[in-house]
Amino acid sequence: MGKSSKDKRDLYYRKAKELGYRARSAFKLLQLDKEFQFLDGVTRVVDLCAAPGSWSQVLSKRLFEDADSVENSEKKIVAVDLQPMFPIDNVTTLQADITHPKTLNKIMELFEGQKADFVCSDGAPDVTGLHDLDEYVQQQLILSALQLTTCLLREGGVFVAKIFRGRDIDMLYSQLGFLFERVVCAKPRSSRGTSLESFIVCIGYKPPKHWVPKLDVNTSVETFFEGCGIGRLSLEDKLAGYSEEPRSIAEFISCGGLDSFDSDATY
Amino acid sequence: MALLSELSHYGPSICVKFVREKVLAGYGPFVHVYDSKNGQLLNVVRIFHINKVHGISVKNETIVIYGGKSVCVVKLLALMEKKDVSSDEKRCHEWIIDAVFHADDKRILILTSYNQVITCGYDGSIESVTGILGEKAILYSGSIRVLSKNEIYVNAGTVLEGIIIWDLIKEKTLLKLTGHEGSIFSVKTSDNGKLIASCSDDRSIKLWNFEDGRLLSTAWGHTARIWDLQFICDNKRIASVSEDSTCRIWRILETSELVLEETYNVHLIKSSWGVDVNEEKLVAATCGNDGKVVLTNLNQDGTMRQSLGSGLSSELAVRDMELGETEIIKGAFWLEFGIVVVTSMGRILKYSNSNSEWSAITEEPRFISFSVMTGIQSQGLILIWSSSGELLLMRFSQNGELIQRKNLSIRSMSKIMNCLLVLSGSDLMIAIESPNSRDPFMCVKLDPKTLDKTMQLSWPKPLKFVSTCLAVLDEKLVVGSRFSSVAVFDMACPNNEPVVWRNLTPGDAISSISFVECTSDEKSLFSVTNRDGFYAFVLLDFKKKSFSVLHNNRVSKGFLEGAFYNESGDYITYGFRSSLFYVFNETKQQEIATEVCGGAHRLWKFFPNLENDVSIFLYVRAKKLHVKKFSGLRTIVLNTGIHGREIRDLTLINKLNFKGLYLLCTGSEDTTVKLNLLDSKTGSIKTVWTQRKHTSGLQRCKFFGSNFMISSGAREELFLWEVNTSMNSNPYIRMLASLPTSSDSPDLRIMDFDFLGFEHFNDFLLATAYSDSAIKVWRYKQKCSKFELLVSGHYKDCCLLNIKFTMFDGKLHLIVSATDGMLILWDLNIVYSSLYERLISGSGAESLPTQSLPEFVSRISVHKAGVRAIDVKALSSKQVRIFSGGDDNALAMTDFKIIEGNHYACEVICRNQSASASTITSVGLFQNGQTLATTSVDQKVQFYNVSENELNIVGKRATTVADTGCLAALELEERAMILIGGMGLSVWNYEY
Ligand SMILES: C[S@@+](CC[C@H](N)C(=O)[O-])C[C@H]1O[C@@H](n2cnc3c(N)ncnc32)[C@H](O)[C@@H]1O
Repeated sequence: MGKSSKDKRDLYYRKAKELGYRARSAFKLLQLDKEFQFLDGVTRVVDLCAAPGSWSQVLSKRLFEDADSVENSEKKIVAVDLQPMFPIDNVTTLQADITHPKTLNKIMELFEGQKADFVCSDGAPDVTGLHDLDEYVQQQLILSALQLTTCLLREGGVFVAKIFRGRDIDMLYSQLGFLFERVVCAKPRSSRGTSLESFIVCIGYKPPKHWVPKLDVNTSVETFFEGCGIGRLSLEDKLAGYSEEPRSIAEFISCGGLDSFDSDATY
Repeated sequence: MALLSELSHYGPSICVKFVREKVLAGYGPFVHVYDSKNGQLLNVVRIFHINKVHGISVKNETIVIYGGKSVCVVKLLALMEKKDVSSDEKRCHEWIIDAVFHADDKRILILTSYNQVITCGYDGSIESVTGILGEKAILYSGSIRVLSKNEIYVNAGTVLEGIIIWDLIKEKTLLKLTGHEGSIFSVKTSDNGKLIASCSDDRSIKLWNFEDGRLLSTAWGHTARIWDLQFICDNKRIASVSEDSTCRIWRILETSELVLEETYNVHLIKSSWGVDVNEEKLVAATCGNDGKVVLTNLNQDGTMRQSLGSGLSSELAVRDMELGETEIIKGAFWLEFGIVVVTSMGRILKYSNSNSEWSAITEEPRFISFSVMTGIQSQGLILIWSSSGELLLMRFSQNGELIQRKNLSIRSMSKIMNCLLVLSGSDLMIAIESPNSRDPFMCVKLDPKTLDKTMQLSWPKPLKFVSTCLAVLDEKLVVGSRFSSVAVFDMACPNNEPVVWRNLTPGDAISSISFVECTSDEKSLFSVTNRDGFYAFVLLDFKKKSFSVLHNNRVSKGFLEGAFYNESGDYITYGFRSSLFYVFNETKQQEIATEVCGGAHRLWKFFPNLENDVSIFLYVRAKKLHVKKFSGLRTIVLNTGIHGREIRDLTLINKLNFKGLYLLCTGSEDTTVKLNLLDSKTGSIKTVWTQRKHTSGLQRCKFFGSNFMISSGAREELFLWEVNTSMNSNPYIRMLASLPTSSDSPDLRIMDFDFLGFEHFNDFLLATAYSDSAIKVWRYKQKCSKFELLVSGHYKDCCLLNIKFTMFDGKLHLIVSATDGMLILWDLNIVYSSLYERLISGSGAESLPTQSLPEFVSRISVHKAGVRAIDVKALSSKQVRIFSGGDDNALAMTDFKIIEGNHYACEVICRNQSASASTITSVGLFQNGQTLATTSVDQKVQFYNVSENELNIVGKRATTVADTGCLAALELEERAMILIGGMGLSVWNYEY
């Protein structure tokens, strides 16, 4: 992010520089939080796909605003990415692949058995230009993040993830509906209107009763979600014929205020 | 709901596969079947409901096709004969990376993105699911190699951990190959099981030893990511395709080193996705993001570096010629029997194809040190001339005998700088020019049989004139010159001064001029190329001594030496790109041939379009004469595809057509605007011209008036084009005017524009909306082809997305939509009426002062985010309705009304908040405003019935065009054609 020359002309890019954020993405989290207030009162958070770390910077500021608060010892931010990250105050960084099952144990160790209040993922794979493959990989990244989330998040917690509103996005909405009370598709003003990027804000985690998420080194994402309503196909003895999969449309919210800087505009 | 059917589809093609002489190409959810011998499309068959075809495997007559999570096993015969086999589509639970046949012809093996192999019967019954422990991370690529029943190996390309080779039968990891950086995009085992080749993000190809996993070599050459590779030629070569849109052939040396052998520019701009090679014929099939499917003959040594006649190669021809120490070749010409050459010693030699021998014809001291050779192929005629005015004509028989010889001396000129020889009808003509401006420009007419001089004419030489090329038509010598000028000398009226037209094209020297066709009113169309890379079609009126440019463009890169229409009506250009000579099919946007010859400054001659689609390129390099034979069959374009990147807008109107085909313009992210012809019955699209005026991605293009088109994009680029459909050879399109810019910010985009004509006047109004919130209104002055700024101002500082003129209450209004979710209305009547009055009173030529944009008169918040697309319909003289689609997935209908006392009222009549699952990118009314079509990024096309206060959905379809961004409707009798653009283009028929 913030590498191409197009980004440099961007107002958010310049503002991020001014405020000391590592990427313009910081404003996306700030604008999302302004709308949903999901960071109010949280103490333990996981920032997946966090490099270079601007979301972690925002989280660090929000959680540790009051430098001397006694509760600070309770607070914890874990940031995970494939890429190494420069240290950030009050943030524990972890270099790992979020699709790898071993990553879960590493995060759990850092939380010492406690659950997180908030999990976010701003992950994006390298795009190839094959739209269907890129969307599939992005969805796998979201499902991996969701997998970790189901093992880490407390009931009632919030999960936020970057999505691309492409061909099968309505299938993802339908799947998330099984796990959260409310699923909203939010587009911060700082995210370009011309890009397919938006964020799902999943509020009120409520896993189905009798379903215990268990991450095993050999289960695939599909088998993991089996039994919770998400795993569409269990391995039957025959490949199924074509059928339409359930789709639904999530509520859309634009956040950051329509008067804030427009990332599509030329200033 | 009305009857909706998809007629045609253009878009990325991801895989190709030879089945003997047939070529199967994955094309969206379809497979195209081509005959590789004649390039014909034999059948189009739907394989999947919506998933795209990503790969094809073949065993005898059975084919397995996969893409996304879908797989299908079919017979070749079904692909040849059926239109739809999607009822056989089977779904897997994961993305399929590869699917191949088992050794026993009864089962298939499917490799999924989580590194598992499903073994199942042709009917999809699962026998087993196999994987290796602890390796479930996602794959980008992989392949299965079945060597025998008990030797089946899986090559898995991971994102982070390199390549994992595992044994399917033993369910055991054999090798872990690390060394590549980034994701692996293709990994294959040779079919003798000895080598592994892989490619990745890091742009390299690596060769590994299958036995022990040793890295044997690494090769570089591609300038972007490599997507696919394959062992060919008995595992002695590798073919690869890349994001850099080339196909490259690599030779594997004994030492296992990889050497780049050939590079073919097969696709446009972005990504060649798939390659397959017919081993027997040595032909490569490639497919790409541009939707092209191309066959390239790889057998260069056999046919390309063509042996001349009885197995004599160009190298030999040179060796045997035996030039003296200081002797060099001054001229060479290709005739039917062979080659004629003149040297700096004044020796004239010939080479005969039939006996592969050189022989001396004569030695002429007058041609020592300086001589130039030219000729006429069809006449077996050679002309050699020297600067002192000595001309020698020689005619050869078909078997190379010298049958005629004629000397000519030109004494009336102080020195000769150029002689151009041309045959026109029954006249043979030599145009002769001197470097001295006081010398005349001379033309000698010869009897083509006897070569006797029949007439000699001369004219005073025009100022600033240096002839470069010549065409003759009906007694008119049309001579191209430097300074981009053309002069016409009339042989019928030698006393008349020549007519000179200057600045026909941008650039300097005209490199070729050739006659194309005559019109019924006796004008003549010529194709003119300029060495600097521009080409034009100009209509010359010899009677009125006037000309008009019908078409102008430039080649994508390099210098341009000439161009011609071939037998199929394709426009072929040729010239140089640094040290390379190229031949390019401009119509199909396909490189046909190249030769590294060292550049344009050396002696060269090109003989295009000889018999059997053969062209000959002669050149001298390092004292040697080289002969290169290009066969038109080197490259066969099976499918021309369309743009290399996303189509951002498309436009057509039913009054513009050419020979019954509708004119369609498409503007793309690839920076080109294409003029295409659409067949309204089949939906097939043929590109005629690819215009390269824009330097940035396109935003919009729209036809208007009788034959105008406007296109806009970033860098404030906006061009006015004029289309001409009156010729027989082709429709033509030329850039007429461009809009003045206000800044040099490359990011400042013209997001949308609209135009409004005046009754009875050719001038028109143009409104432009910018990404910095600027709104401008211009007047186009037809007389001087210029835009004059009438109104300028800003809305706020957010990006504007749409702009539309509307006549409302008899007054001119402007409707704008923006990223703040608003629809905004301006009253611009003062501008309009004052201009109109001027036009009527005849004082229209005067320029008007620029006014600042007034306050808007009304606005309303309709969407929660950017209003991506709008269409407007007048309900009455006092009420307009706006249909809008937004980033917020919503579709809305909003009315603006004028009520008592000039007040405005606005109201959202209806809004469907979840009209789609993603951004609505275009909305368009058709069927007299009764039906509304929308497209959205979730690849849906929806149709609504428009009633007084509701939008009722009447149809919803998935489209195979990804990044769905624009639509256009062409209204025909009882039906409309709906065109949908994005990453590709599809054409639908909508019967009312
Ligand atoms: C858009 S950036 C995140 C920016 C970050 N939120 C910030 O504000 O600085 C996306 C990140 O996703 C990471 N990523 C992609 N795939 C991943 C994976 N499988 N595991 C961990 N990180 C991944 C990339 O390395 C990249 O740093």
